[in-house]
Parts: sequence; C-alpha cells; structure tokens
Amino acid sequence: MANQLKPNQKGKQSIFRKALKATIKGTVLYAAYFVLSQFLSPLSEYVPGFQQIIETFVTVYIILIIIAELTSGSILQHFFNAAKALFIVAYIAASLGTGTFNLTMGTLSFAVDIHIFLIIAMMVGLVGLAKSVLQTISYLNEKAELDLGETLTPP
Amino acid sequence: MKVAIQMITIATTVSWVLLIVFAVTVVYSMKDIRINWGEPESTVTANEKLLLEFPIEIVNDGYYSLQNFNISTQIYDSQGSAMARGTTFLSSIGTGQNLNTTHQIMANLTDILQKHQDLMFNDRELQRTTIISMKTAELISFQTASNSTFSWGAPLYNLTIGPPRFTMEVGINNTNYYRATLPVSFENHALFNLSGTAQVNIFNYKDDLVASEETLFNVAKQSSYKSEIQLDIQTLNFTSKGHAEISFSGPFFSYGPLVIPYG
Repeated sequence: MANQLKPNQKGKQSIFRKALKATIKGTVLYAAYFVLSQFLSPLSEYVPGFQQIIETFVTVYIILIIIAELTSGSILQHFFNAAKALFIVAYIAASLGTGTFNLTMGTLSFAVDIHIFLIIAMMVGLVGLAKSVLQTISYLNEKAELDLGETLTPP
Repeated sequence: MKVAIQMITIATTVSWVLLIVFAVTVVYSMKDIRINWGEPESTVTANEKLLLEFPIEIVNDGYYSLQNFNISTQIYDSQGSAMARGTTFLSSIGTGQNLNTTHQIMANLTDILQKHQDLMFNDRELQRTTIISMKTAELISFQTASNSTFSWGAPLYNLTIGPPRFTMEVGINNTNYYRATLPVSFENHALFNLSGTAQVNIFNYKDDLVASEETLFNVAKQSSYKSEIQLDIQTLNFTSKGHAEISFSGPFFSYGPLVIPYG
C-alpha cells in the first residue's frame, strides 16, 4: 500500500515544486515590471496605448513562463519556451512596426526612431529562439538515449 | 550541449537586462535635457540680410551624451513659402554639460520686402517651425517639431502722407512762389534701423513736373518718424489742381510712387 502511494506522493511533490517555481518566477517578473513601469510612467502620459502594449506583453509573457514551468520535464516545456521566444520577436515587430514613434501634442510633435534598438532586441530574441531549439534537441537526444538504454537492457 | 545552452541562457538574460535598463534610462534621461531660448538680437549684415540671433542654453543632465544635435528654424510667409531659415549643429553634448550657443536665422530683406510689400506697412504674425533633432547614446534618434509665431514688425507701419498744403511765399527778389508742404509720418516697428530717401515730385494738371525734392531719413528700430517735406514751385508753373508723387527707397527696399491728388 505504502509502495503504491509513493509515486503518487512524488508526483504531487513535483507538481507542488513546479507550481512554486512558476509562482516565484511570475512574481519576480511582475515585481520587475512594476518597478520599471514607475520609470516609464512619464512616457505613458504622452504616448497613447504605450501602457497597454507593455501590459499585454508582460501578461502573455508571464502566462507562457508559468505554463512552461508547469510543463517542465516534458516536451511541452520546450514547445512553450520556443513559443515564448517567438512571441518576443513577433510582439516587438508587430507593436513597434517600423521602429518610429510619432506623437503630436497641440503645436508640438515628437518622433522617436528606435529601429537600431529594435534590431538588437529582435536579434537577442532570435538567440533565445535558437536556445529553445537547442534545448529541444538536447531533450530529445537525452530521451532517445534513455529509450535506447531501456531497449538494450536485458530483462 | 548543456554547457552551451547554459552559456546562451546567461548571455541572453544579461542582454535582455542590459537592453531593458538601457531603454528605461534613455526615456528617463530625456526629461533631464533642457533647451532654454533667450531673447533674439537682430542685426543687418553688410549684404543686406537680416540676422536674428537667439541665445540658447542646452543642459544635458541625462545619463547619455547627445550626438548630432541640430536645431533648424524656418519662418514662412502668409503663402507658406519659406522666407527665413537657420540651422545650428552641435556634434556632441556630453553628460552633465551645460552648453551656450547662438541660433542664427538669416533672412534676405531685399527679397522679403520686394515679394511681400504688405510686410512694409503691416505687422504680421508669421508662422515659425522649429525642428530639434538629436541622437542619444548613438542609438536612438529623437526629433521634435514645434509651430509657433514670429512677430514681424513693419518698417513703414501706419505710413501717413497728408495732402500738400500750398502757401504763397515771397522770394529774395520780391518774386512770389508757392511752397508746397507734404506731411509724412510712419512708425518703424521693424527689428532693424531704417534709412533711405523719400523722393517727392509735384505735377500740375498738365502732368508737367513743377517741383522735386529728395529727403533722407534715418529711423531707429521701434521709433517713429514725422516730417514735413517742403518743395518750392514757381508761380508760372503752379496750377490749383494736380498731383504729388512720393517714392521711398532704401538699401533693401523701394516703394512707390504713391499718388496724392490735390485741388
């Protein structure tokens, strides 16, 4: 009876650990966003929709982090990690467009050209995607080695 | 492979942190850049161009130095074509630097006053566009454009030429002649001193030139001019009806003749 419960308990412990890790990661990320948003708040006053762009990004990113953490140890984790990396690249490209912001306030108009910054951010995002692919290959490689080991082991 | 993945993870994490910190500090730095404009000073150059000099104080209390700092100003006439322009370029402004410079706007007075004669007599609020562009931390370009007005002061504001008054005068040889007196007044609202000549011709009813006089005037900026131009006419040539013509000319303008009938 006790032996039958052990794997179940292990599973519960593992899920609890994963949930705790996901919660900590999500909280830390939100705290970082909260601190940075204080610095960015002057910009939000002038750029309409800026706060929403950042909020949507942070929300989706935290959700993907939590899902990836909860599915850790399975192929799904790598799937969500790749999705996270792709999301960063796609979101930067979609929300910032050509990399030029224009804003008009009465007789005053502003234009900010951040396309070089954007290219750097997208390149870092692509490195993140490459890392996810490498992690997936590594995971599949390890799994294949384990399966092969089990197959070759005599009963 | 795991080591390589770990190294990539560290590298991307560090890169993201640096990028986010950079983006936030750049935005935060922008509020610590101040540009203070002083009162303009005007001079007329040797080649008859109006030079407006705006003293500017640029304070960069941000975290990053500024490159390619450029101020460009254009003043437009009522039709929307540029009549004055000026550019100030500073290649670099370091952090914590307080820089004083002068922004110069040059206007060709001869062209302005010939193309837009209404500007000789009427004060106008002209459209002014100022574009300030800069690059911060060699990466992010900013540009602001503002529209404001520039007060143009007319050099011959409220030009008033009264009808000529004629009085009979007695000459040295007891010969009679007529003296015509033409009152002229205006206010120089311009940013420059105005000097030139006023040429007055009087014609009788047969359109014969009976008297001519040229008067020099030199009017300081923001001051008024009031004078009476006197011309002597021989009794034989004088008719009770006729007209006077007055023309103004200076180093960068000419206007006239204005016809004032009498009688």
